Amino acid sequence: MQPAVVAASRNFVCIRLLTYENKSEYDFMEGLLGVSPGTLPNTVFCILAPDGKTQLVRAGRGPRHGFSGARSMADGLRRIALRYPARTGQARPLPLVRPVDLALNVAASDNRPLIVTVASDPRQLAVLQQQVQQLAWNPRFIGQFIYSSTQRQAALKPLAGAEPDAAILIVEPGAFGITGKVVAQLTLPTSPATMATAFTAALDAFVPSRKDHNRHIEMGYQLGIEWTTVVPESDRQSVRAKARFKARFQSRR
Amino acid sequence: MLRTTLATFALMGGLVQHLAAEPNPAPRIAWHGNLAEGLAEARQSGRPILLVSGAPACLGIPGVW
Repeated sequence: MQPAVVAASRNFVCIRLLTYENKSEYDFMEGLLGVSPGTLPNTVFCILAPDGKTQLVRAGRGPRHGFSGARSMADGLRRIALRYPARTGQARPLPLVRPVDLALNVAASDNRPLIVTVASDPRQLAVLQQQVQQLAWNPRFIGQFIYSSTQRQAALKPLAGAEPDAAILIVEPGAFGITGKVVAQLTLPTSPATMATAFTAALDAFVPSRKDHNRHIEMGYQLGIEWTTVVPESDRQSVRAKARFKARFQSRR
Repeated sequence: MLRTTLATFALMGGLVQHLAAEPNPAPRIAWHGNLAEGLAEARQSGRPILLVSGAPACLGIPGVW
């Protein structure tokens, strides 16, 4: 990612949806693209006004229909941001991916550590999220972690080493994002300083894995790993490619 | 089509890591993973919205965009 685009993105609310994991979000993206129901492609790109409706850069499959490259995109983002100055004094909410198993997959795909806040009591969970939120937007940590949150201990099943009394878990995702290893956990009471120390240590220790895209997919097939989406995949090209790849793989066995 | 998809994946931060190791930590976009919460922040803050979507599984295999 170009640093200029990342820097320009700080004046935006950046939303990255998971195309086939939520039906109402799926419907929203179909509306943006203006495609027939049940035909949403697997990638979408759009820039919207703060009302969430007005398209400032028309929705499409990717940024290339709006920008010629990273520099053009950074310039475009800066120009748009000038038209929509943010109201000051507003704390930015913790950017969450839910549920935990999906967040683990996103963390693996991004090659980043995952932080999970856990509390059975919703009020306690909200307090925890507020504490983590303050660090999430700290320049040291911004964009460096994937965040999730749960009230259910059962949601932590894929996370090896999670203790039942942990309130904040820092997790290194497995290559396929279906399991993870807890590398640090904090119990209550904790403090912002303790959390910051743990986050810094986790970030310093984290080594992004080197993934070869094709080898990763082949290995996934060999291990019998397959991700089932909530909404059936509707990108015809992608569905055809998956069928071709599966047939080729099975013919070689 | 391939260029479009690659550009989107690169924006999402997924492509670069597969091709080369990055300095840790490289600057990254802070993404909301939830539409309702993202839209609420935009309305409250007056910030415009950079919206992308992708599938964290390729050919059915998780762990890659």
